[in-house]
Amino acid sequence: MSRRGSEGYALRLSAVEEDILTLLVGRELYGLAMLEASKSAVGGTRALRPGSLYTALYKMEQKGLVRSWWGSETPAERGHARRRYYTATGLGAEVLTATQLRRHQLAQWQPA
Amino acid sequence: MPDHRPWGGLLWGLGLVWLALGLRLGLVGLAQGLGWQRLALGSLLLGVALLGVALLGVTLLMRPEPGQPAPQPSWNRRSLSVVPASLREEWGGDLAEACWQWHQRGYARWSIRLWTLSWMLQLVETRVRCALYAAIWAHRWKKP
Repeated sequence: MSRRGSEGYALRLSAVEEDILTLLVGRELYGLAMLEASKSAVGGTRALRPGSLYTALYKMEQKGLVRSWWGSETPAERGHARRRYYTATGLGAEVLTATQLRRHQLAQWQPA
Repeated sequence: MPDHRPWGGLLWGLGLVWLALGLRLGLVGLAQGLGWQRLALGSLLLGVALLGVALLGVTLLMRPEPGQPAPQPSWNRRSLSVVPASLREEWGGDLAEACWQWHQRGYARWSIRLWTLSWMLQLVETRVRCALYAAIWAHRWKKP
C-alpha cells in the first residue's frame, strides 16, 4: 500500500468507493443493507448497484480501506446464508477525509 | 486435503466470461447480421460446460472429510478468480434476502424474477469486465 507522506495519500477513491466509505465510517453493514441505505439516501437512480458494490468492496478490502467478517446469524429469509459485514478501517476513514478535504480545497480556490 | 478452491474459482470465472462473451456476440450478431451465431453458440456452450465442470469439481473435491470441519476461504489471499467461489454465500444470501423483502412488500412474482435477473446480469457483467481487465491489461500493459 503506497502512501505519500502525511499530507496526502496516493490512494485515490472512485465515486463508488467514496460512497461506500461514507456509508461505512462508524457503521457495520452488509451488502444488501448498503444497497438499501444508498437507495434510501440518494434515490434509486444514483444509488449503488449490486454489480459495482461487491467488486468495489473486494478491491477496497485488498487496499485495506475496509475490513469484513462473517456474521453469526443465519436467517431463514436468506436461505440460512450468513451475512458478510463490512466497516471502514482507520486508513479508509483517513483517505475519505483527505478526499473530502481536497474537494473542499478545490471548491474554495479563487483565481489570483 | 489439498485446496482446490482456486481451480474451481478459476473455472467458474472463465465460465462466466465465456457465457457473457457468447451472449454479447449473439446479441451483436443478431443486431447487425454479422453471422457470428456459430461463434456465439460455441462461446455459450463452452461457458456452460466450464460452469458445470467448476460446480461439479468444487462440489466433489471440496467435501470435507468425515469428522473434519469444512475449510473456510482465506479472505486475505483471495484473487479475482477465486471471488466467485468465495462470495457465493454472500451474493446468494443477499439476493435471497432481497427477494424475500420484495415478496413481503407484495411485488408480483414476475417483477421479482426480473429484478433477480437484473442483479445476476449486473454481477456477471462486472465480473467479466474485471476478469478481462485483470487478464489483459494488468499483465500485458506496461507503463512507459
